[in-house]
Amino acid sequence: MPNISTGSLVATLLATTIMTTAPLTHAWAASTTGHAVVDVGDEVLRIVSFSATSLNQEEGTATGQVDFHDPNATADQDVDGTGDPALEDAPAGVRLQANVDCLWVDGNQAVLGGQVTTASVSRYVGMWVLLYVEDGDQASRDRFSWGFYPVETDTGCGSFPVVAHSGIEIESGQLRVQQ
Amino acid sequence: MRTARIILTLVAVLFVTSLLATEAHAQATRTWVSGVGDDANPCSRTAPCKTFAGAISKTAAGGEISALDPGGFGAVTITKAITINGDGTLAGILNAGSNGIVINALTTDKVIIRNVSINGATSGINGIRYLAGGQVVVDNVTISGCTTTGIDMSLTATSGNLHVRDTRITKCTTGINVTTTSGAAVAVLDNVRIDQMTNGVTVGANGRAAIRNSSFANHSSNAVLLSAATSIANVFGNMFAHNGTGVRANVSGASARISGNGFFNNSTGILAVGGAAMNSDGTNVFGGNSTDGATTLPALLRQ
Repeated sequence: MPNISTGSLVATLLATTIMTTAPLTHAWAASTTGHAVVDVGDEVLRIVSFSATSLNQEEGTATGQVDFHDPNATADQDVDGTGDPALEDAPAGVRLQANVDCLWVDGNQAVLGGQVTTASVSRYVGMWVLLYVEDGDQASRDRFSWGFYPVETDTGCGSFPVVAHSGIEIESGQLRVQQ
Repeated sequence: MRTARIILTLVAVLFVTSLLATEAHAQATRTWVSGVGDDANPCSRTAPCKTFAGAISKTAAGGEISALDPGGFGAVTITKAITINGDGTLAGILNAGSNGIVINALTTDKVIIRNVSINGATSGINGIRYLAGGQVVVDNVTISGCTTTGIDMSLTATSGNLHVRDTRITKCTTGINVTTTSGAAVAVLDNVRIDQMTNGVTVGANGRAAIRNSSFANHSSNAVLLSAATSIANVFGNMFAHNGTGVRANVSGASARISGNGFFNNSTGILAVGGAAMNSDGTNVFGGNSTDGATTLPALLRQ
């Protein structure tokens, strides 16, 4: 059974706090909040907490925070010897935070994104992060997906059609989307 | 105060328990890698992984890893049924100083490597190392620059099946090696181009090779070498040019069957050593060899 670290727990509880407060202060705007544990079948539980509120729905601008922890040991991805930083010094995986600057909401689905501001593995700082959130109903579980993209790709909330994202049923937690 | 602390602790324990009491989620049947992917991603089409190694743990047994765009996706060890497919783009593995792909799967597993370029950059060990697994298909793969073997089928105490088709192997020491310590190592080669080795194909202990529609050129020793008493090779419709020896059965008990091949400009066309068999149906063509060589009886029967 994968370990759930104290840090992850704190981050999750923190996000729970954010989740309960953000909609109250920005009840007029589209928003999404949540915390979740996600497993893609590799016996690694990723933990994510986030909160995003739109600033201008037409432009898709937003503000918020993302906290993400992947406890899987991060491999050296310098497969072509092109000079990417080796990652053998990251046996505890990657933990990172990002500032949200975009949010698209469509019904019970949302895509939020921004740039990584701090990370336990330096190569992730500055990368784009996108989260896909699907707020399930009583018949279906909440679904979630995520992605990290090199800074030169200039990836944003509109980089992919919403239908292109394939959400994964979360193991636990709660995701909310408010239009 | 104390009661509040107990309640808080209880809530925290229940919360952690809820996190831990999760059922295993199914892996994706198809995952993706990309030159701009990242292994912290779920390997979906919109969030691809960076390496085959990063994708394989997120891919279900029997599933497929596909390449979204050109890139080098790193060496990988395969321990389950899987397809690695670079169809439509350049899916590269740069394996300097290491094996490109190691297959160590179950006898019930089928592994397919399709449309992949494996480059050892002159210091790679083996392009593909097949240690265990029921069946391995190598389809439209390019292998080059390894110090040992392009495809090394070296099974231990087990049988296996290797199918190589539409594949090019160059600049290694041996192109394809076929052997197992017990059982049968069966290799079927179709439309394979192997050039510039010491030996093109080596059929070792318990090796059974069927080679058709392939070409072997510029091998300093042998294009096809049968090196053990239990080696069998059926060689049909191939071209052997500018090699030391075209087909060589090198030990008593080894059995080469040749039909419809062309042997041109080799030092020796065919050679059976020490009582080995070199059976022919009389349809092979010889030209420009220093020595054509001789077949052994009985002749293969034409029906």
